[in-house]
Amino acid sequence: MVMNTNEVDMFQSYLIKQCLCGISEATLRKPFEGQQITDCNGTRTAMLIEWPTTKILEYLSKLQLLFDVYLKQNNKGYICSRIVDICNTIIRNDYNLIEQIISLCDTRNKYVNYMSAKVLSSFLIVAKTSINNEWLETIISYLTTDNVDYVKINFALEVIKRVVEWKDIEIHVLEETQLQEGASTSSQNETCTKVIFSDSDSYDTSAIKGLIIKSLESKWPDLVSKIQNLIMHNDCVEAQTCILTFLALWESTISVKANLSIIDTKPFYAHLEMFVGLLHSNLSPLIWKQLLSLFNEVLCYGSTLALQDMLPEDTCQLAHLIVRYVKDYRLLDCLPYRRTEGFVVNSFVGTIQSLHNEASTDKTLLQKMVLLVLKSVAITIKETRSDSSDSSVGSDDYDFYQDMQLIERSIRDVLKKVDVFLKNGLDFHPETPFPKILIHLFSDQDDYLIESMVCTLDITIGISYRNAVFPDLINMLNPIFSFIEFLKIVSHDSGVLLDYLVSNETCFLLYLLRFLKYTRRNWSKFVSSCSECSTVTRINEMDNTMTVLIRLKYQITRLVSKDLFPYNISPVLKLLEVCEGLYEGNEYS
Amino acid sequence: MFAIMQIDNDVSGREFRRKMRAKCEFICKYCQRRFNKSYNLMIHERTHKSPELTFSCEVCGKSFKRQDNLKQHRCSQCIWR
Repeated sequence: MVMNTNEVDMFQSYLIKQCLCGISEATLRKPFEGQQITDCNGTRTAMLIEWPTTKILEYLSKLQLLFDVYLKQNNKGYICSRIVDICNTIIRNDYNLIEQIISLCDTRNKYVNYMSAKVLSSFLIVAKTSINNEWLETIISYLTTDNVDYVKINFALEVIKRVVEWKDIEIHVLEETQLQEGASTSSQNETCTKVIFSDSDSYDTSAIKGLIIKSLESKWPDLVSKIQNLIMHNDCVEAQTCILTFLALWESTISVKANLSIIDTKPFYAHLEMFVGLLHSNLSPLIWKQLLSLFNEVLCYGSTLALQDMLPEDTCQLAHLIVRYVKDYRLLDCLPYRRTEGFVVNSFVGTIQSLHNEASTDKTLLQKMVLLVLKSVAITIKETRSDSSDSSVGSDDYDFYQDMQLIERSIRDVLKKVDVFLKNGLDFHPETPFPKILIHLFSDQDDYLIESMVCTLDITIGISYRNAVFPDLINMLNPIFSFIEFLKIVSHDSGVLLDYLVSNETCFLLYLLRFLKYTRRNWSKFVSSCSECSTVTRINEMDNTMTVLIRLKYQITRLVSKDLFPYNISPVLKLLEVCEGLYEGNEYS
Repeated sequence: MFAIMQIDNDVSGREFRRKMRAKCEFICKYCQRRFNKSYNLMIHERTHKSPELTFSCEVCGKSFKRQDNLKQHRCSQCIWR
């Protein structure tokens, strides 16, 4: 076998410098022309699958690097013209490369499969809709072959998942420094002939994402039942890998962050309820975790549902089901969050034994479960509130009040169960206030923490709005206690609150807006709750809390005055001013 | 001539206004979900976006997503900041 390693290495070294202008046409084409082999049929070009594994992996890595460079330069608005040329040649499929990469599945080598899935997904992102439909059809057909082929299913799921998860602009934190520092020292690329690629179509991936989702849709019901079957009957490593990749793909598809149209993703909301029934104590903790992540993503409360007036029916049904399973089917008791000594962490990664000094509880499982229940309750309350504002339902309607009482009783049951469950699981004193337990549970996961605070705040507001039948529930959830406890977690640092407001990693903007509105409307409750906390901590919680809020107001005002705040923050600013006025005893206007 | 819009007597002014308001919808340009308030849509749309660089160094102009990143930042120009 003849390997032109020099030319291939040269190709790579130029690629690392992000420009292919300096190499000859022959060297540029060489890596794609294939390798010559001599066998019984004489000398011919070898198919990729016939190469030695290390060579296949090297080749795929170079292709991956080529696509990575293309996509990064596309984001900046220009691409090296030779990189564009060679990518166009691959898109035109001059070397029949794509079919060859797809067929690498037959090597049954997990490293080759991993790399080829990665390369194919990057290729689809580069090519966008300029692709041959047969490639997509072949990949999708792997999902529903008559004889279950785990390798092929997983390969196809990985390719689709990577496309769906692709972020149009993704710069790693560490790269920011390099980018800025490198801007002045990029003289090496001065000779590069660049092509401008700054139109939105060149980097907008919504079309290819839409296309791949549309192709997946036709196979989805079959695939769902296949995976459901695997969850119930098969716990071999290959099957579990497929299940986890499938669930991760499902989560990415319906995730708000995938930027997919809700119309395109509607069919993917259809089979969720069946999977709630699969949550039982014999299920692997890893699959539990992935399923809980999926349900949490469907109930996208802080980012979306809390902000909508009318909630989608299928989402509400999932929330109702979770509430019912916690209330009537002891869902919380089935959660496999305890790791006993010598317990196999999970069957998927093999037999990793838990260490003696390792925590005996899987906190992530607890967090995902509790957040899911809080979201389900908040959605159930919100849905009944939306119904009650419907003018066709009279406020004196006897049946309506009966229903409300029933719902409120169920929610009270569910929240009491969560309270007891957490006190047992995290070894809290039985008298510990519920908000304190929740803040403690989520203290290392700020997005969950803040979303859980939005949920408890909305549940309280939702119940208070209807003159609660169970006032103990309002005391149990007291959002002011939560906020006081939350400030302890962030060390009363208003700078942290400002970071939360500016970044979009949590739903803190929504939380603060609603919390300040609640405080303004319930000022006397705010004062009494602060003083109640002060008697326990012997610190003036009112002064502490207001100092943080006033500092935050000052910091926001400073950024706004320099026109640096990234969005309109004035509603929050106004509320901060009103609350400051109330604190200083001024009459609220 | 004036066209006078008749309001049904059993619908109070407040309810009427509420119904009219409910028709006003703001649609997310990323996922086409619908919201009744423009500020709610803005909060939602932030979820779809990449974080913006807000905190800039007054000496060298370098921008950061988070305030604590700015505080940690020290380059040769800014060392005496």
